[in-house]
Amino acid sequence: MFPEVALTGTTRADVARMAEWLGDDDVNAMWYGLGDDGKPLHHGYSPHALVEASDEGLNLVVDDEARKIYSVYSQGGEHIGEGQLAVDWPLLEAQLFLLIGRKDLWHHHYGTAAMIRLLDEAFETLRLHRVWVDVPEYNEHALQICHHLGFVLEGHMRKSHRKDTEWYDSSTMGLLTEEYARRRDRLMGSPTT
Amino acid sequence: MPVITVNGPVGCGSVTIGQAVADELHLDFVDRLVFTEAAKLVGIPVGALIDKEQRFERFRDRLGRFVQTMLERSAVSGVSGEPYFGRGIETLPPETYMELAGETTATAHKVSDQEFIDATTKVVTDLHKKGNVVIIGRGANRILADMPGVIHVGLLAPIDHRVDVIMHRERFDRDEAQSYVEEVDRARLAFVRKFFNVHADEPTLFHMVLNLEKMEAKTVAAVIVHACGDLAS
Repeated sequence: MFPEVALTGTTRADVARMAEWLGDDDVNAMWYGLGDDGKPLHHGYSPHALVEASDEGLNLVVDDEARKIYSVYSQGGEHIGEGQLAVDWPLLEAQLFLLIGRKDLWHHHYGTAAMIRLLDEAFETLRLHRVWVDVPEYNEHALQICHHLGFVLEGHMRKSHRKDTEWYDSSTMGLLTEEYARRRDRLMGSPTT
Repeated sequence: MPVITVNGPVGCGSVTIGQAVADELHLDFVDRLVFTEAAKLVGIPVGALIDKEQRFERFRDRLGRFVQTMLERSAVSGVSGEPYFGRGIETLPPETYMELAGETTATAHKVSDQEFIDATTKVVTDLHKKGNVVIIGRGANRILADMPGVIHVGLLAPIDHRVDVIMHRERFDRDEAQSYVEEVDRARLAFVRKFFNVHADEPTLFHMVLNLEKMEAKTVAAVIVHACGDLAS
């Protein structure tokens, strides 16, 4: 069975933990590396900048309907990561991002459990039609999880993903609402490795 | 700048072989992404385009739906009796239950055939201009039929072989897999016939047609890679 996780709104304390996690070399190596300013790159916002922002500035980011940001919490109430759905409302689709920042929990199925929660949110709550991910070649574990969840390889682009000064191949994988519905019931009892 | 199109019925291994060729030749690989990009051009959810490709109905489905529609219209109009030949048909309202309720899913977005084919053609021709790509299906071999620098590969295998592949891949039992393969086959043939006015597996559409029952996937990929030498020379 997968561990229990929950998605919640994102607080300033959560953003501060994201900044801390992204400062870790191992975590950063699985994510998007460093920007030209030497700060870790992230999607949609800079945790290092946002943690210092006004309440209004923080709310603008965490309440954005086009980029739904969720903190991932364990059953024990610990903040362990962040998920995002960058929603294209006219197309009823979203790009999914997930980072388990607590690297001591990697390879314990927290990523898969959080992905399932995000997919439930996307398809059942937001009523989206397609969720897609763009997975760089260096994140083999993410590729395995997406495959296990039923994502379909839609394309593989060479040297399309930049991290630090290097370009990497990446795979676009998509999941449609009816594909997920077929897969959902089989998922919970069969964790990937 | 090789461009390779790979076409074949479900269970032939088009995706596996396409990926192997793309890896070997260091090319991009594009499968369903054709439709997701086309959907962006039209500004509708991708499901409406996939419906165009996959939801061609069998005759008995259409007949079944006709009967159901008549029954629903009969019920909505409060008329009993023979639902589609008997009395009451003149008083049927024009909407079914589903239409009255209104569709709310992505498939409620309608796209005309012309919009669909224009958007798909643009995506495929843009991929051709960019080059260095393997494109799976989506009528790409017809859209790029006369373009230079393209190799069109057709794949085939007997249905029993393809059913075995689908059983393993989708964890279906044999009946489910057989039914799935037959349904997708029909949809694919109808799609290509409707939009390109040809039989999907007409051998003259391809530079080569390879049988996956008789050849290993890696051999097929190697043959395609070798053939790409013709494009360079």
